[in-house]
Amino acid sequence: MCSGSVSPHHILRAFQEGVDGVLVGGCRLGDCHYQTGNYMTDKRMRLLKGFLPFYGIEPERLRVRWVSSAEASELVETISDFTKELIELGPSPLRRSPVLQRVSKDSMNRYHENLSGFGS
Amino acid sequence: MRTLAVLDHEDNQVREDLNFLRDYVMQLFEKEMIKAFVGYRREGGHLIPAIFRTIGELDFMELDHDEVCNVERYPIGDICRRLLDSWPEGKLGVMVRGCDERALFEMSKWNQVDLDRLVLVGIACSGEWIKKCGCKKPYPDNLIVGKPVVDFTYSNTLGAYLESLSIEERKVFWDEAFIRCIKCYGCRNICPVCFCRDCSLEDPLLVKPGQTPAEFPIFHLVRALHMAGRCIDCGLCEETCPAHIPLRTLYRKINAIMEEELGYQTGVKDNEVCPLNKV
Repeated sequence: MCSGSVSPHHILRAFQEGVDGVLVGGCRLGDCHYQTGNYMTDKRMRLLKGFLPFYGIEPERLRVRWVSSAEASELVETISDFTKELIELGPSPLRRSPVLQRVSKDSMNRYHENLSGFGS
Repeated sequence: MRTLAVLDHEDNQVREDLNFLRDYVMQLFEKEMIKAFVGYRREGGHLIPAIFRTIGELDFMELDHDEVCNVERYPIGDICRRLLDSWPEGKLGVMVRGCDERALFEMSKWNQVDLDRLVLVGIACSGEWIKKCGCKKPYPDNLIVGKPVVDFTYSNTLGAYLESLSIEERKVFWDEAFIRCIKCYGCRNICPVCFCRDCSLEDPLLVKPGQTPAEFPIFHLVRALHMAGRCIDCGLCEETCPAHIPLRTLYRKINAIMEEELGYQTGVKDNEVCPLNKV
């Protein structure tokens, strides 16, 4: 399957489910079977990677590597490296922090107070 | 408190602008450059977008009072797209603010409107409204009515504040914001550059259906990613949101990354197409 068919939405869904990291593997740039699939992946993933920390997910949890299915040893190395790093990072922030269940009146007031300092 | 004298002066300014606009549009009709004009008319005390098909109907046209922030905005870009779609032979004149114009430019790049069938009649935002709205360019390129205000300071205070926080603190902030969402889809419905027929936000595999608050963060992040290379920072989403979620800050960020990483700026009239829309 072409890495160009991986939508950022799929990756967000994975994070929503609580995964600790996502590895997107594609063919080397210039080697795409469909000519340009991995160039599209590159653009999308750069956007997503920059955006994730603005919400609160460490960008290291998303890794994009150009390794094709023909390079078995490199693929294995990439995966074990990533796994090692993820263990150091610990569980995903979406699982780690307690999930808010409902809005209390206090937190509502606090929220509006905080926000009112910022104009638009 | 504003004095009556100030209001009088503002009324005069608005009246002057309105007369100028009417004359201008009248000429467009006379030269047969347009078959209809999209402007505003008052209905039940509110300004609403309306189609004017003859010179006689232009008498009912009205304008907002920017000075006193009495501004009612609508997704003019989206309205024009629908009108042009359902009226293939029509040529429209349309009154645009800076944001409306940016939306139309962006939509034309995404092949959603044909700018050749539109005559843009630009109006500059003014007064208090500029401060309140806080956009980067409160005047259109095709300026016809009013004077452009260029000496104002653009600031993204909330964005800068969030950048200064730690990643954990940012997550807490956004979670507190997102949990307020009542899933009204207002942000999507009002958006002038939202044109997908099948909306990802309604895809049951992507966002769990039938629950409030909308499943977060995915609901908001999916929408933010859809705004990459599209959002023209009009701020209608944030104005609409009944839960006061600072959506504009979120979309400003994704487009800042877009500009930084892929060198694309939204809402500018040039021949460059969004990098996500080409190979």
